[in-house]
Amino acid sequence: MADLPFLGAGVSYRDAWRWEVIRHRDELGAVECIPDDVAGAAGLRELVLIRQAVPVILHGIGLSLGSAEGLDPERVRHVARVVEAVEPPWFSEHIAFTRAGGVEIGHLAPLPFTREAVAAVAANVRELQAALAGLPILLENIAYPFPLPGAEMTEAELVGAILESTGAYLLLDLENVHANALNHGYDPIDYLETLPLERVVEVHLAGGLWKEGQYLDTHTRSVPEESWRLLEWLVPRSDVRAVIIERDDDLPPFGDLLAEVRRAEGCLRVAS
Amino acid sequence: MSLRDVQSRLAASLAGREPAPAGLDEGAVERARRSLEAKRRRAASHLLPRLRNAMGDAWLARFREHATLYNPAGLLHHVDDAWELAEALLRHPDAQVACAAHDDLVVLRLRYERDRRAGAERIRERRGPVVALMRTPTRLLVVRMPGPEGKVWYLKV
Repeated sequence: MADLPFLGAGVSYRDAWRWEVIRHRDELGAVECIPDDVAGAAGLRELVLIRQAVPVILHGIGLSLGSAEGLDPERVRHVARVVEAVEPPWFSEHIAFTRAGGVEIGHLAPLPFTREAVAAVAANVRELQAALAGLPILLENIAYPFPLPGAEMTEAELVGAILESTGAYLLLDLENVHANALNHGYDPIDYLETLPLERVVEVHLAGGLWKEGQYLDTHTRSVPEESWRLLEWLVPRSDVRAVIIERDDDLPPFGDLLAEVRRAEGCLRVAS
Repeated sequence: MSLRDVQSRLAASLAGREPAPAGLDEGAVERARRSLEAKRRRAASHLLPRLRNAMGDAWLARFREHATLYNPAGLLHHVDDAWELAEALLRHPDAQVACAAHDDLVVLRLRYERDRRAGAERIRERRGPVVALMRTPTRLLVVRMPGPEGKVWYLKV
């Protein structure tokens, strides 16, 4: 972990913000790009262009690391091609599955908190590590709308067991922690205290909304105060190298995002 | 039940093809299914704006029918999803809907190529040329030049 660079605070990359990102490059520690969105040579060149302005980190959404069916070799090759072109300091993906039985779910689905799930993720992560030639891998906790039956451990124990068996680091999504705490009725700090915080490298922040009695991690709102407080709690207890503000829809003026980036950067500075 | 079975059943229920697996909160799975369908529909609306407008109130029900029947695939599965729906509506009895489907498909084809037989790379960035006629609101001949960043010309006809 000592070898991983400190990047500071940045944003998730969206095409609509291409020129804003380049214009405000001095205010951004990093931008996080999704390799799944790169559909060919032009997309790859765009990422390389962005990387010349700002450090780029890559964040996968479709490898389905929790699939009992194993990884799709074509997708792994695709990620490896993007990694080779962009040369990021690390690659991150989710502790989740996104396809099974021939169905592409289109979103991150939760794993049961079982030893079999730990083994499935560990096998897939090892395959990915081999394909990415030892590039550090970060795994992200997800927001889950319902737990699966048959749990043999807690969610935090599942995350810890996966990190321990793979040597991967943790991408801690604090908005997902906030959402899960609201939807499943627990104290987010109690949850955080049971995670291996020494393995946190990156943090995600975002904003969601209430719908049909559930708090959804929609990435469509500014970061709620509750998540900022979790970041303030976390930073002195771990060695966070990057904080990314995620926004997927209802895109605000870029200046609003920069204000959130500055606030995250302030949290990181207070700790140092 | 093995992890593989649990995942297959959950994926099928989230796609609206099977009831929620035993032991799961049926209401929560149904809410998740609706939320996923809405996400697919939003993505399709962005990619098929003319079709969305031409269909009006019928859009919701038609998309639901499509979502239950079709498994989008590949890295850009939202593009694959929209492409499939637009192709299916090319022969819609309402000429306005069929025209809108045609024109939205032209716009997709300017940027992407689709190979239904392929897996993860089913949708790829287009490198080759395209010549197509857009029908609404005024007729436009669209020419995309070859190459990864092929220039696009719109000519009134």
